[in-house]
Amino acid sequence: MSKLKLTAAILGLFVIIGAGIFLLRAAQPNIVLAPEEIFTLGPLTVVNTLITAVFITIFLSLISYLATRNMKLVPSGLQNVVEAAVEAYYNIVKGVAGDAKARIFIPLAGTIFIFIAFSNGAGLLPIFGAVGKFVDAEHVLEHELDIEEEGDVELVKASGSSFNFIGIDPDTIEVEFFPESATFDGPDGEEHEVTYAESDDPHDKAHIITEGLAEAGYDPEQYGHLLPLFRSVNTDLTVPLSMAIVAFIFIEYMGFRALGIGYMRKFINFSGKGIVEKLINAFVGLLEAFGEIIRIVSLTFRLFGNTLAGEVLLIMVVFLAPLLVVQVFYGLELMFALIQAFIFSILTVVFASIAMESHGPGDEHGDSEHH
Amino acid sequence: MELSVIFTTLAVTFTDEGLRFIAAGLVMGLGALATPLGIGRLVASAMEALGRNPEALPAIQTNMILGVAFCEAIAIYSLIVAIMIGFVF
Repeated sequence: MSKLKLTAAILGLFVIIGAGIFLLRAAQPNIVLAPEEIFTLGPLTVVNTLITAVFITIFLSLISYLATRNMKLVPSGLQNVVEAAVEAYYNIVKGVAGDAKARIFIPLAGTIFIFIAFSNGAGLLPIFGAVGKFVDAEHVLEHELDIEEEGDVELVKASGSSFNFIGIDPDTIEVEFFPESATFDGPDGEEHEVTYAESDDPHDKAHIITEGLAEAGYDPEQYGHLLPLFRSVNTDLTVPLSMAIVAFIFIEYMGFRALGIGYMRKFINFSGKGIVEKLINAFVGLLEAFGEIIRIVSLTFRLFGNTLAGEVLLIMVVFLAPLLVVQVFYGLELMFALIQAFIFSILTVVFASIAMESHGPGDEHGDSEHH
Repeated sequence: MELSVIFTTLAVTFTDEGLRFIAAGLVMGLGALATPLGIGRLVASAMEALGRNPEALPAIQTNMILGVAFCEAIAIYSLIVAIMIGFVF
């Protein structure tokens, strides 16, 4: 009996997934690398990732305030949860760097961990990418024409659904534009074409195309793009980059603090017998310095790439199989949010504890000379 | 079909856009060629070590995840290059 039920459940699952694939059509995936500008505040351009980052920071500050407002020796409630999390993380760092160093590293590494884990996790919330500012057709076209002479842009109806049953016309207009003309399909299915001079500036071109849309029977105010108000923070390259630079400065500072000016001997090293050995040591020092700087790049792109890949994966899966399949990947992304946070912060800890050790190549050589 | 005909057909269908997607596919494919091998080797060794010495779980696990992150970075770089070829340029 239970076997029968299980079979029926699995069959039902497949039927639902199949129905999603064959009957529903999700919106064409629109992948944007740069964060979208929402408004400007004097000289400051406020993009959606900045808004999200501010919200997450406020949320985390609030949690810490609430957890530590009324601290007791025997914790309970929120304080208990936060303490357990901090202690678990502390034990991991202690296992990597030792007790004494862990106490120095935890403030920065823990902050990085919590921020990345929460911002990547928050990026999975349904309001991300769904709530935002609507930009009408004319402005979208002007923006696109400003970037390139030739291409295509998909305009979505403001009140329309992004899911469409097959057979019903989707609420989108596909505008293809060339240096001297633009084409699109009218509401009745026939192709329309508008022409303009190549020398026109993007603003005039966009105006002409918009008038063409109105003539064809569309309401240009109703079609356009949605600029999401929230966007996963780490899909903006500047956020991982700034965190990596902070981590880099922290690592170098730790090196200098532990070894003094002798820390530089790792990178500028002319010790050795004979000219060949001196040259080799100088070159190794140069490589070491280069490896130190390249860490910024590798930390940045690891986090940025993983987060962006996660977002693209989810969009693609929704496009390919609109029902049920995406839940599996949501679970995967939740796990990846934690793993990425772990990797970024633990790498900082590992690099910093390597920098604090005096076993540079120069020192090893010095030791072998004494033997 | 004659070979020359195939080549002519191919030459006709090789547009700039098509070449771009071929490039993106090649970048991702070649980048993802060796990464799984590295990760597989790493995890296999970690499992072996874990089998010999189960108490060392925390240390082995942490170091394994770090190593996997280093391996994975290469695939992620090619993914970024592929996405940029496909969607940005």
